[in-house]
Amino acid sequence: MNRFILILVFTLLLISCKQENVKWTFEEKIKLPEKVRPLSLAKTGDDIWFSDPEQFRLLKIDPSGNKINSIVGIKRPMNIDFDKGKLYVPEFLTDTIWVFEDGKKSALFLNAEPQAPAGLNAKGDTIAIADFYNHRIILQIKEQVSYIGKEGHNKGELYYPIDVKIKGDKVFVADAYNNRVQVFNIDGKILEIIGEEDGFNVASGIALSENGFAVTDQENSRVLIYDFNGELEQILTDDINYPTDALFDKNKLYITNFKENSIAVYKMR
Amino acid sequence: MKSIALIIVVMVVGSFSSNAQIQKVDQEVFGMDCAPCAYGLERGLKKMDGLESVKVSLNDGKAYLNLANNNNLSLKQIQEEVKKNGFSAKNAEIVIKGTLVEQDGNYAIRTGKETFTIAEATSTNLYSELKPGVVKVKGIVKDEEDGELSTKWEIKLTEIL
Repeated sequence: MNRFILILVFTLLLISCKQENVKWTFEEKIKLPEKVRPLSLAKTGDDIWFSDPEQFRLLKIDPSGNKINSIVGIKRPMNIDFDKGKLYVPEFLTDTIWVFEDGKKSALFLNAEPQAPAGLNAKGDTIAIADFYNHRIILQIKEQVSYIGKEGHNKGELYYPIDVKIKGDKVFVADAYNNRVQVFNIDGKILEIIGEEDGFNVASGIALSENGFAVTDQENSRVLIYDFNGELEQILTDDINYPTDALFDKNKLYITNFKENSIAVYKMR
Repeated sequence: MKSIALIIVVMVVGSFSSNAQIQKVDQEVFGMDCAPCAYGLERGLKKMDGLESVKVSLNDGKAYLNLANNNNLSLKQIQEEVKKNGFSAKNAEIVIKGTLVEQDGNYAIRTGKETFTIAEATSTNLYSELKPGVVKVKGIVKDEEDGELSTKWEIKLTEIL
């Protein structure tokens, strides 16, 4: 019996040690064409769409960085999203959300008037939009609109939000110029503030995984990894240059290097 | 007959003064790293009356403005908009049309709203080509402290158009 307990304890110890050692490590850089400034990422199968607002376009690349498709003439495309075969693109200068599906482009019907949509997340009939100049999140569920947050620096208030993600009944907001992430429920009630003590200088992008989330710390060229309890797990800095967005895919984490023409790829080891 | 001549004179003078203006500005903007902030400046500039096109480039760190015919904008107004958006306006390459006048032993171009004194750094060749009257020139306007923006500038001419 004692021997059985000993083996059990040893096994548990081994598992816990193994989990602690699992970390994101830099794997490679995907080099992009010259003068590209990748701002945001969306994955479609093995390929990646990214927005290049400086050149008024979106590019689709394969895992090696080869260009395989493009969409041009979008007036400053910001944080994009891909959901159920649709590519959602917020057009910053015209306050329009474009939807691309099977090569066709249409404007999303929005029961609200954003001022400079900077980011969005779509989950079927639900869409959340970071409404940059109105300092709020627009939440549209089956064409019914509600708003989360208002301009300010206190709990539950937002200051130039840039990105937003939905998970279940929670809304994660990259509260960029308050240098933090705020988590709300779907009714707009503030649940949690994350990262206030972690030295953010513009929390610009947010990406969710099954176990937690990544936040880009734009001006400090870092990406911070949290679990869903808000515990900081890891800080990534290797080969990161002015990150504006991140994207989890399987055991990889993609990070935009906005100040250079590359995407950093990290792998879970 | 005299009154017709007077009307013609008034129309000619009026047409000169309405054409006296800034026509193009390539404005250096300091601190344009953040995309939504820089494109926010683009949104702000686009709202100004009298602009034909505006484009901000993070790669170049500049705002490129083409002004409409008969616009009533001044460089001061443009730089104030830059400042309002949280940035600092540095040197600007501009194209202006105005009246060249002698002023305190130097030349200056008056656009109606602003005065551009010809900088000493202007090449002697260009300087010697200047003649009082209506001129169209390209040049670099020196960076002024944002807090001390006035309607008087110094311009180093690079081309007489």
